[in-house]
Amino acid sequence: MADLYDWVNDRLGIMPGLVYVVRRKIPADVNWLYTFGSATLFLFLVQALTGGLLAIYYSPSPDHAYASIQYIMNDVTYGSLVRGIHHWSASGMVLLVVAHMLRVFFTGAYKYPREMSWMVGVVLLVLTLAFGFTGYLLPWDEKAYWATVVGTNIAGAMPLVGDWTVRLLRGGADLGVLTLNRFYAMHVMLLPMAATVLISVHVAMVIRQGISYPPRRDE
Amino acid sequence: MATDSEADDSGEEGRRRFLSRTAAVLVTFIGGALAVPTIGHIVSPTLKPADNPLVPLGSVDQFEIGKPLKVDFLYYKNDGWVQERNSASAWVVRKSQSEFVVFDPACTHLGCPYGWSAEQNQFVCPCHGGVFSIDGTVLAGPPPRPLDRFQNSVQDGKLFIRQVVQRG
Ligand code: HEM
Ligand code: FES
Repeated sequence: MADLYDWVNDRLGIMPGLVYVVRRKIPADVNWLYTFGSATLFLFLVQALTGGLLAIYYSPSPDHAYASIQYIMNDVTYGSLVRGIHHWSASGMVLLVVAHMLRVFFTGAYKYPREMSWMVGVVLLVLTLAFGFTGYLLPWDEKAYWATVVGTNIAGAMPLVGDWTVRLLRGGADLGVLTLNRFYAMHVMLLPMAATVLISVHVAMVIRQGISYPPRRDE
Repeated sequence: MATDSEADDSGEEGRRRFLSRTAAVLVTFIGGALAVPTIGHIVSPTLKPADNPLVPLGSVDQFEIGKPLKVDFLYYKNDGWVQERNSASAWVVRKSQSEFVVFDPACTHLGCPYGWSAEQNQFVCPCHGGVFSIDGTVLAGPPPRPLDRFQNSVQDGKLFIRQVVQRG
């Protein structure tokens, strides 16, 4: 271990920095509520792994989407387990990100100097929900199809730009090949890239600034 | 008893050691729990035997003993979640009342479709002069091995083959 540490450090000189990140001091009176952010991060990594595995077999076209998911469920070794983890972690991630936000809100941790963490966090919340919305369509069954019809219709309620936004989301007037393909591209390419960058920024700020002190009665 | 400070889990140092060990155990456990399905999922297609469907070639009555007949057939094959419909053909040789040999119709030299010559009583390949006997052995020309075969079976008066070709 020590040899490996030296070997890497002799070349990159980053080991003390990494040790600092793991060993950095945090307020003594933080509690379990302060783990929601890390728990969200863990589920994000689980989603990246299981999502990548599902992409090995999933085919994003109306002709194949449903059958390829049946194949994952019935023919691929551990396929139903991998899909199950991805499914439940998706819901778990939404719950945790909201719990994390509530913790930040009720401890007042969004205040100076952490406003940027909060703002980046708001975008991450939107991205998390966008993951859920785009992912829900991919199985291309009745439930997925109609949920997306309804979900995209909601955008139509906006004044002036409503109709245009619905067409933007669907890639046309109706739900079809273009919708499935753009939802897939969003779900597996654009959203993950954006989330990876923003989570890195978010966590870098936490490390740079340290975790806020829990509010105390006498303050 | 445990005077050795390594085993002492009381106090600030002990608490830290206990927590980091617990974390290490949990990380190992969770890592393993993710690694096993990950590997299984990726290697899954290599664990499955190749699809080798049973294909019906019709009634045995159409085949005369000692007179090879070429039959065309359709078969369905699974390619992942897609079922493919393919057509192919085979040379059927009836050796006796109940015994059949079914040859792949591609010459074992470079894959030309060979034919049956009734005068010569031999299979003859038009491409480079390959000649095979009725039991598939090479009699002349460049083919490096006897004709490839399909496994066959007879059920209820019908001839069936397995779609995957066996090397001759
Ligand atoms: C993908 C989603 C997110 C991830 C992975 C994430 C991750 C983290 C982590 C690991 C921390 C360290 C402290 C803790 O765990 O509580 C943190 C802190 C913080 N997060 Fe998030 N977060 C996410 C979304 C959000 C959202 C939606 C908000 C608010 C709108 C937010 C606002 C903050 C703020 C202000 C802090 C600093 C808290 C402090 O210093 O006490 N984050 N985040
Ligand atoms: S392919 Fe038949 S002899 Fe060459």
